[in-house]
Amino acid sequence: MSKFWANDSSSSSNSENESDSDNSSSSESDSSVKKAGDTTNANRWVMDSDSSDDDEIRVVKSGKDRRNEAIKADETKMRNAMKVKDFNAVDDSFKKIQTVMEKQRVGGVDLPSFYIRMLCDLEDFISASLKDKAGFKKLSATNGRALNRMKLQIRKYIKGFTEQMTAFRANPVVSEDEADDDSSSSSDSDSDSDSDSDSDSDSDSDAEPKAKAKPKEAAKPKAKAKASSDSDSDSDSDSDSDESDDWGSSDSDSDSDSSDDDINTQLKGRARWVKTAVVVKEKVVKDKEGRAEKRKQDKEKRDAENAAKSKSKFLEKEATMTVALVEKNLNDIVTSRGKRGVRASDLTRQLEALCKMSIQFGPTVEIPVLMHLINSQFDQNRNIDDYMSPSVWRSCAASISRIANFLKNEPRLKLKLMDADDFLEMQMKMKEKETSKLKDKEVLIDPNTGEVEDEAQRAERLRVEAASKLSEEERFTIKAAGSMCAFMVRLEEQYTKSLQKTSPHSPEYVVRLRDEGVLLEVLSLVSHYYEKTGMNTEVAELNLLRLEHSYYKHDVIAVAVDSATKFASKFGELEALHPACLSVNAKATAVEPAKVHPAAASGKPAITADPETLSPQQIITDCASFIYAHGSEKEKVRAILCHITYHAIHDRFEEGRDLLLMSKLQDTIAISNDIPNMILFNRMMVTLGLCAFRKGKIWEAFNCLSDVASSRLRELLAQGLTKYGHDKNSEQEKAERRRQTPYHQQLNVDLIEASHLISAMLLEVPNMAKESAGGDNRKRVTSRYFRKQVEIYNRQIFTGPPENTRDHIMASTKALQAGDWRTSYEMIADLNVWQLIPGEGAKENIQKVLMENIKEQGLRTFLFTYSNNYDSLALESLVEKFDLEASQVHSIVSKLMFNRELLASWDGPTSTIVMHRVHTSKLQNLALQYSEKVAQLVESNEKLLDAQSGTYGFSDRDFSNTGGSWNNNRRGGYGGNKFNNNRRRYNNGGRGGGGRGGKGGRRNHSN
Amino acid sequence: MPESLANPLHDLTSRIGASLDPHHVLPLLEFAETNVGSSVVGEAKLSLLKHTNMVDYAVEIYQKIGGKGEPEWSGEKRKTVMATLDTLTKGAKAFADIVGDSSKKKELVQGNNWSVQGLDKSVGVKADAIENYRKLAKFQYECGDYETAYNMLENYLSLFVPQQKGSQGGDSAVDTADDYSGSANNNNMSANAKNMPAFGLTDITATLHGVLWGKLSCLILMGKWDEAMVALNAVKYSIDVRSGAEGGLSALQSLKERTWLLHWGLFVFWNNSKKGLDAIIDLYMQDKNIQAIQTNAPHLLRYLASAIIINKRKRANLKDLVKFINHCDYADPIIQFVDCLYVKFDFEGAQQKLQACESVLATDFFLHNQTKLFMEEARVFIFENYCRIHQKIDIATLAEKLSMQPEDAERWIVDLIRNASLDAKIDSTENCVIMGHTTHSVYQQVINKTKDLTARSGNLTNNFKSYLGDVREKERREREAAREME
Repeated sequence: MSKFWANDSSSSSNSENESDSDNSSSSESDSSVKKAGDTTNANRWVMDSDSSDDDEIRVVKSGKDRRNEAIKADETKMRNAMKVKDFNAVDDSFKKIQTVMEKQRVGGVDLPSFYIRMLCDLEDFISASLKDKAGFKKLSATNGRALNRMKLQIRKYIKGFTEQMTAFRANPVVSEDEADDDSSSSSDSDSDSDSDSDSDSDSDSDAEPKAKAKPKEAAKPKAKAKASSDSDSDSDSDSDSDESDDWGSSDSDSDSDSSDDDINTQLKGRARWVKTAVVVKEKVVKDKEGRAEKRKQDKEKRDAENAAKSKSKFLEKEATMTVALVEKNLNDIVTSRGKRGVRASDLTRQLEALCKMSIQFGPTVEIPVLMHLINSQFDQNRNIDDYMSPSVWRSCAASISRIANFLKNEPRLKLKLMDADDFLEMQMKMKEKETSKLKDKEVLIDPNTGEVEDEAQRAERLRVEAASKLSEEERFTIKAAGSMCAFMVRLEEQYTKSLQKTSPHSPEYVVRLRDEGVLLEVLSLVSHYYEKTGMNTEVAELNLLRLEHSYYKHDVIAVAVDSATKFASKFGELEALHPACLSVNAKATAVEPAKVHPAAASGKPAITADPETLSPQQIITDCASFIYAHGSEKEKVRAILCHITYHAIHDRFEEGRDLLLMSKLQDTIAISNDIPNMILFNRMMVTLGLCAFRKGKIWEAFNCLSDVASSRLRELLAQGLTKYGHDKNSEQEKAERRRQTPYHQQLNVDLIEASHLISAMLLEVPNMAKESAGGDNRKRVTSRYFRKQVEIYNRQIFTGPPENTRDHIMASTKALQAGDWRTSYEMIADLNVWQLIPGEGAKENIQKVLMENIKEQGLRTFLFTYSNNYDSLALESLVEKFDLEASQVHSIVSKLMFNRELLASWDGPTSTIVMHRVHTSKLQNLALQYSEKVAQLVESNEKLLDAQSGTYGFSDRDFSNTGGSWNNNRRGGYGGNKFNNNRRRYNNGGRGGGGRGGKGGRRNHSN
Repeated sequence: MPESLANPLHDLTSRIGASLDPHHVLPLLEFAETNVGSSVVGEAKLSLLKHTNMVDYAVEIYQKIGGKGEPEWSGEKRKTVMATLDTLTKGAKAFADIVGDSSKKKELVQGNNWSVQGLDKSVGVKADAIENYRKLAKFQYECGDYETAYNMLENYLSLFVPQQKGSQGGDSAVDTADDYSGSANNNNMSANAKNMPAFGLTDITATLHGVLWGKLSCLILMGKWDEAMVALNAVKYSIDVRSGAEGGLSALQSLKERTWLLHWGLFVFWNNSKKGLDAIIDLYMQDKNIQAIQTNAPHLLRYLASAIIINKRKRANLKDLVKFINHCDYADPIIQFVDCLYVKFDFEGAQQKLQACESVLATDFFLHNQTKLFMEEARVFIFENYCRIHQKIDIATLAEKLSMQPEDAERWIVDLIRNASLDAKIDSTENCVIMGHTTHSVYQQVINKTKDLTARSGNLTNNFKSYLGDVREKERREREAAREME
């Protein structure tokens, strides 16, 4: 950004716009800084800027001498201009001096005393000329403006040097404090738009001297600094060049934008501290994390040296740090947040450093800083599709858990959300302090001890006094920006987002998955706090997050994952352990090198189960029931969906179904218009269907699965984008992408399809057989989808051996239609997908279920298809043919007879089925069909009227009980509202999810 | 609740007891005493009585099961009971006096002042006196004086029945939560009801809701079954109204209350044999109640199944029942019997289950009177089903299936045939029953299919007419509104 500024400003440096000219100075200073030897992009525009003052003299001299000379030359110019009161010229020269000084400072050189003297003179001069109202009026327009500009500039600029200047004034020159004060306080009111130039230049130019804190000591560090700068001024600029785009420049920008904060300018001094600290921190971090691969080896070394040096400085500082200072710094940093050109990452670093310093003052001080740090970490993602990098995420999680732990360990602590009033109050206080400080700048004397104190000490004292006035409760109430709950929500969001964006087949994904444990832990910590303070809505929110991150795991897996995480946190990575200690006979024994490998001597690394940890089931139940009690409607819906899914995963179909029925979600989800919930609903229905399938409840399984699995399965489950539907625009597609289920939570599509088709087959094949046998003229289609598949399969000219899952099922269907249950079973018994079902012996179990069902349906199909060809059938032959128990066959056949699906009856003594076939003539047949049609017509008329009037005519229906079947269709049940159930789509925006009204298995299977 | 009861015979006492008032459980326990050892029951009773105010009765039981003197808590309890009684009586005195004075009461009623507000205005009886009166009624109930409690509640309720106009709304002062039934009706929303059956009450607040429960409870304990039936319907209505109303019963609460209602109904239904059988089926078969049964109390299916089997006219409900059975995770011999007979068509199994049923029924508090009837009906039921799918039945096998002697079976069948409920003949040489051909001819089928069409079509036209009328009316109104706008 500074690029543009620079170009801009160089062209308009003389324009009348104050802020512009200020910027120019900043850009100049920047440019020259960078020119000093860096290789950053700054070079590109440095050529354009015309601030090449320091190149005037081309004698070979040490950098410092050269600069000093340049300054001196400018100074003479300036003094001359001062004499003739040419403020424009003064302004020019002063700027040049600043520029050079800038570089000087970067070089680590201390301020020359003549410079200070010059500053004092200049200040005096300006204030004097300002006082001279008459003279002021006489000035030309340009000069007047220049004077004004100077006034403001100098006021800003000298802020950084007040100490040196007062020292200087106290020493060689008689001070003119009044004038000084006047000038600054008078300029107070209109110092709005121009905090820029000074703030950057000084924040950059004198971190070093300020860091030394006192001018008296200047001599010593001067030498030191000189040494370092002389020895490798390059290294400094190198490190600068690294940082220049990180913090150096942006920092100056951050200040340059803090237009109307007087506070800000007042705080400059402290901010500088932070910066040095930041350098340290950042370097340390960088070195630690090894992210500096791109750097050359030697640079790294130098960095490390620098880091060490400044670290020692920093530690020195830490001792003098006070709470008030921390607070001030914090405010300073925070106010720059969100300003143009301020990078969140820089803020983060500054806050991290500040945070380190605040640790010594205990949680009350540290927590607000941490909160701001977390805020700034979240700020780093600019756009909605951005996600937090794992490292930042982890540190963020760590910060949150740190706060949560504080809150846990000190039950009296309470967080209070900072509201607008608090902010206002804070700012007012700052202003007040500032003005009061300015007034009695001279007499900063501790009223208690009578000792002289500087402003920092005073602030600290005031703070302590204020704190002592607070009541117990107030003292433990921490006002902080942002709420923990909101943080957790965002943290979770970031986590999910990162999972969505990471390729599921990469190792990163696996590594990332481990963070879920962290997330859950932090969540429980935080919710614990809210629970304690009785903030139920928050707890519900957090509990929902916990639920959403644990419901999809089978208990077995959850426990395993949990213990693995614990193991890793205790012993580190499994791979990193010595193989010997993992061997079977590793036991804790005395070290006998002859017998036991030393690595195995302390026994197998193992974690003991913590009796306090709740079982996953307990956690889920607790979370869910809490949400039912306290959550909002939307949360309740989600919680119920998760809870049902959880039951379904654990083969508890009845519980899940009852929960679903009680919630009545199947009726309301379609109109809820809440796509994420619909997706969850679809997932839940599918899981429930799979559960029913595993348990052999074919009818229920089919009903759960059919709506979702019939088309666009992936899309409905948010497990991948589908290509069709070209009406999607990019916005919708993005939205859909955002909804994707993370890979590890996805359900296996193949398994779903297999279950769906097989259950459809088991229901539909006898149905089709019955139809073709003509026993019942009414066509009752259970699964259109399945019929279509069968049709497609039949249409094939060449039918090769089955390859994929669907082919297998189709082949199996063919066999079943022919009554050959054995082939049918074999076709699907060995499908690969059965291996995907979790649990011990799951595959065998499924096979058993399948075999039983196929036998039974095979028998039914056989009877429907071939009963016409028999006069009587012996029970035994059927038993033999279908390998079923006699009682089973008897029961199945009896049922068919009872329901008049098979026109036959038993001959008791011989246990044979005797068919009562009535050969109907064609006319009779037609008559039957006709009557059927008429009945249908009436029925559809009724439906039409019902749909129009909205009443389903229950009351009018009761009289006609004969057609039990059609009466049944309408009974409430699973929202089995058949009429508008078939092809419902809820496309909102990206067609992402459709919760199709499920019609579970309430309808009676035993027709 | 008495968990300690052993459960050898699918005893439901403990499960049912969970949804009953302690006072209702007492008769159950007394009945159970005949099956289980009296000491166990005694203890259970004692633990139950701890929650009531019937201290003397508790002491009696305590001594009966071998305790000496009095249980240590009884003295304390007695004192508090007496104290509460005193305060309540005093508090309610103002109102009680008026109630006792029939002429005064009459006067008030005629003066249209028989309401909470009216009493306050005319005779200065404050709302809290009336509230105390209600509490006293509950207290009397707790003490076991159901008759008094009932009368008091009647008086209380009458206050809230609007006479002519403007006499409602006085109950805003009395919306404290109460629990006649051990419930927590912490709602103080009033639900508006129009022309309603709950004794003419218009506004059912939480308090009144509780009072209705209390009344039902009293009637049950007094054994006035016909009146109890009315009270039951009132409570049912009240639940419907309150669960429909905003801020009334939450879904969960209404589910809970429905469950109670179904349980309490057992007393009313099974003791009121004629009307009860129909009523229980109607009540239980309602969608919402079925849901309550499925989720909260699957054991109630036993009573539903028994009622359906005994009550021939309602046999059509059996199909639905089978559905519910499929969905519930509950099994006892009666349910299994239905399952065997109607789902599995396993007649031998059904027979075995029927035998098990007999003993279960005999020990069931509600069903023991019906055992004989049940067995008979069940037998017929088996036979009917058996005949329906057979054309030739060996009498010996049949006798076995019906657990009868062959001769008895034969006589029984002959009786059935003679009563013309069975189209069959006995082949005495083969000792078989030969069923008449029951297949419908095609013509019969066509007739069956089209039989109801006329009625349905007629109905359809009627519906359509009324619908059209509605639409026209609406249009007319809209037009009028539009005209007015202009």
